[in-house]
Amino acid sequence: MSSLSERRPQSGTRVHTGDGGAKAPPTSVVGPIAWLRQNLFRSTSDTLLTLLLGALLIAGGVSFFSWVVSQANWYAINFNLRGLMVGRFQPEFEWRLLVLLVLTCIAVGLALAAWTRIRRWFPVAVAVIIALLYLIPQAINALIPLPPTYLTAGQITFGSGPTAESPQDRIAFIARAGETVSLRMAGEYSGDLAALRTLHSFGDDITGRLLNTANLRMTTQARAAEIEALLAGNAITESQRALLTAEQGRLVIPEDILDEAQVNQQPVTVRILDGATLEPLVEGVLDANSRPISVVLPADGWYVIEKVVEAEGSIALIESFGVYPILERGITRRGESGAVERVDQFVRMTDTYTSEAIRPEFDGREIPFAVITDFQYRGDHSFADYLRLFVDPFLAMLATPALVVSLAVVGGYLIGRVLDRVFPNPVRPRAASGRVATWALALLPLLMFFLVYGLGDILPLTDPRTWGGLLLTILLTTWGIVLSLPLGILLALGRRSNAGVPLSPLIRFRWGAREIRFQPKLPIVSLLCSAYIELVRGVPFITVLFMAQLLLPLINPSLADFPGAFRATIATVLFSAAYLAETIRGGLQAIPPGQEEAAKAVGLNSWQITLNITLPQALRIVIPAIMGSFVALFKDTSLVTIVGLLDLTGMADNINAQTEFLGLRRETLMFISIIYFVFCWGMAAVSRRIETTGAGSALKRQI
Amino acid sequence: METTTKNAEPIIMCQNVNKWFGEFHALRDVSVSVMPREVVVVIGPSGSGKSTFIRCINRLEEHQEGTIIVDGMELKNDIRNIAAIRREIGMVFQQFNLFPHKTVMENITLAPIKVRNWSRQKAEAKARELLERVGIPEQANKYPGQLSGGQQQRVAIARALAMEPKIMLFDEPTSALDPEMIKEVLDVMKELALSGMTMVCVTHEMGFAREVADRVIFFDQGRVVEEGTPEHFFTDAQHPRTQLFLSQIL
Repeated sequence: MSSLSERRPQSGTRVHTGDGGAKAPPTSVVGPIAWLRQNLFRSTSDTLLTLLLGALLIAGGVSFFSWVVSQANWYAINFNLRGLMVGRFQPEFEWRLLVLLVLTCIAVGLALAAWTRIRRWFPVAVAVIIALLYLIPQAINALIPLPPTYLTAGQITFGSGPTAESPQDRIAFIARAGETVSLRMAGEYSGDLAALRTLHSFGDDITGRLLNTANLRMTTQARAAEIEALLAGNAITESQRALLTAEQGRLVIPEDILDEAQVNQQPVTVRILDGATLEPLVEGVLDANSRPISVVLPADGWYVIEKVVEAEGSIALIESFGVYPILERGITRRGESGAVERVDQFVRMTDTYTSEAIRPEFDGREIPFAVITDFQYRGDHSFADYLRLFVDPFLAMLATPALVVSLAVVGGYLIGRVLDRVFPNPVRPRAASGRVATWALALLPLLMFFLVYGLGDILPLTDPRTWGGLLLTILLTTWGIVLSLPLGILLALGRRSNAGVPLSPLIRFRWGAREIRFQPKLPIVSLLCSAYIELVRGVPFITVLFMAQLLLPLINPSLADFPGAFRATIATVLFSAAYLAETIRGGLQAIPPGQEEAAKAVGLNSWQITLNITLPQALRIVIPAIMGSFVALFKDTSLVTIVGLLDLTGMADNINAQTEFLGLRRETLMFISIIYFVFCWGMAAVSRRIETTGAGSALKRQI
Repeated sequence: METTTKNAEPIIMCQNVNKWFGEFHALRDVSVSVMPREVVVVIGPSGSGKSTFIRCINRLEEHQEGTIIVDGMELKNDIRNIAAIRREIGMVFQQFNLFPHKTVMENITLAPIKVRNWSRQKAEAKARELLERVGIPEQANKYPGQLSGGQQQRVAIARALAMEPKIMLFDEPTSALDPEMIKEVLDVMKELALSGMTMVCVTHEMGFAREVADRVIFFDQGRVVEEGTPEHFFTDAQHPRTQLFLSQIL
């Protein structure tokens, strides 16, 4: 030893004195450029990937948003929002859904108070959003006028035979008191096909045909000129030349509609009539130079535009403000006398103004009105029209529900905070709100059942066949989750019952003078559970749904009257439980055997061990997987469409099957996708929350 | 301290206990008796059957031949008998085996409330007293995951004591601990031994054995090879296997 220390005199003992030398960690400041370089352009391959993905994202995003703004027709959503939300739920019971919504939001507020820390900016952000929901429609209304509607008048026929069409002399429309209707000859489109092609707004059917013909003529002319230029040059091969010549032969250039029909060359006589009396409110002759004719309407209800061109072979394109397409719909409802009545409603497309006034007639025939399908917006929407026609009414419909929801959540949050003040707990400061929130959330599915379906004499029963839309989706999901989780737990315990987890009860009964004690052999319980699980997992969900709908009535005819929504719920529960059972069994197997030994050693019996030790820990372990199953269940409810239930997906299909909304499948699918996504994302967020800080947190799982 | 029954009936009596794991003969004709208030330390190489032996005492393992009588009750398959015996025996494990999803307080009060049907107030008062005794009263509302290994093992001891057992079994209680934490657990065990608890400890802490044990039992290959007082054991071991073992660990 001594020789060693002699050789290395410096390496002897060292004693550090002082405060331990703790220092603050270095703060890393990364500017945006440095961040980009570190994360997106670190190497050549990174750079290439970044550029490639960036280009794809930008290209996809641009075309998607240009479709959203300029091509999509979102009125299928705005018109059918109620159907998408609650289906045909009886309007007289709608208040119960509102109560349910408010109670749910209060429970959510309590949960926020108990288990989360609300950032200070959060309520401010919500308030701002709601204020914007109210203000944005106002601003859009004030700043952006509704687009005009183009109407055609005159004596001209498009097509021949049964498809032949001519401009209507009279068109009926609904409007409200105080609105202005003004008519003007659209002179800017008179002499120029190219100008006519740029028209983008509402137009009646004949206007549409005008546009299409103009379009076709110009594109065909352009192609013909192109072919001619190619044939004149020498840059093409013989075979190409042959192909082009053939195409040239096939090209048919339509007649110049402007020349043929003398658009806007002759004056047009217009009148605006009161819909009930057909008395003219205003009358005038329009030509290319005259000032617009306008009138302020005296009352809500029907009006008629009469437009006549005397000269033969002449048409007029009239630009009108205040005349908009109408959707007709028949509804059944309980009238004041209590009898069920059928009513025709007319809904204005631009603002869902609804009138039930009698439709005007002329010469004993109903005057045609502009329906959505033949009064479509022609051409691409401008951004202003997109805002005015789609965003404005949608946000206006959203504002009040959003306010109610937020107030209820805030109310629940405040209740939670007050509870924690009133019942202070020194150890866990938020124990009171936590307990109340747990109860509130646990009671919600039951409340949902009573409020939506009914409860004896207090709440009359609603008709389950009227449940639909998001409501039905949520009902199926909630009841599916609430019922399948306990069933799944039982199945999991049952399947493991020969591995030391008890399930088999002791059955005792008297047979004459003898008492018979019978404990089913655990392998049998385990076998039955395994068989059930494997059977259900080996069958597609659709099959189970069909069985619930078709086979149940065969087993017992009285089940034929059992509402389809309940049968679908049962199918969902039976199906989902099998999958949950396997997930939970995995969790049970992951519990270290020491846990059970320790519990045995302190004297707990096997049921107590299962309920207090193994099952709670197993469930904590599999929270992510269970939440994944619930998200899958939520999405799988869309399959009930196949057995004729109108859940969110079924409702979307139903809308697309109506003539007014034909061809709007993309819009409705897009909308319900957003709804599905929002809910799934919410469930995933709750799951993440539970995993990181709640019952499933590492703190309560480790060891 | 009470002065009773050192020479009365043994509280644990094992006679010719045999146990197999499949083909492996884990316990071979083990006969051991433990008197009330006695502290018995079981040592031996790993795989020698010492853990299996004490796990048989509270029926975490089932013996196949021989008799085990604890506190006057014979361990058989009767589930009520087993439950009654487990109520009287506390056990501390090498890996602590605390319930991670329950707080320290809940860990300790669970069994008294569920098994002894105590009121929550009574169970919590007892738990606080025990936490005071093992020196960590301030940790009552933490989760096991927030405690050091030594603290967790002390909670495990408190959990076992909460059932007011007559016998405590320790299965290598310090083997999973950092060297710095071993002492705090051993101190609790010494205090417990001095208070008159009947204890059977499987341990490698020879200092503890020397200081506290009334008797040391040496296991090898499922057999009791040598048995005696600590003085005998550490100064005058007879069996060559014992001598070899002691020479390697001392």
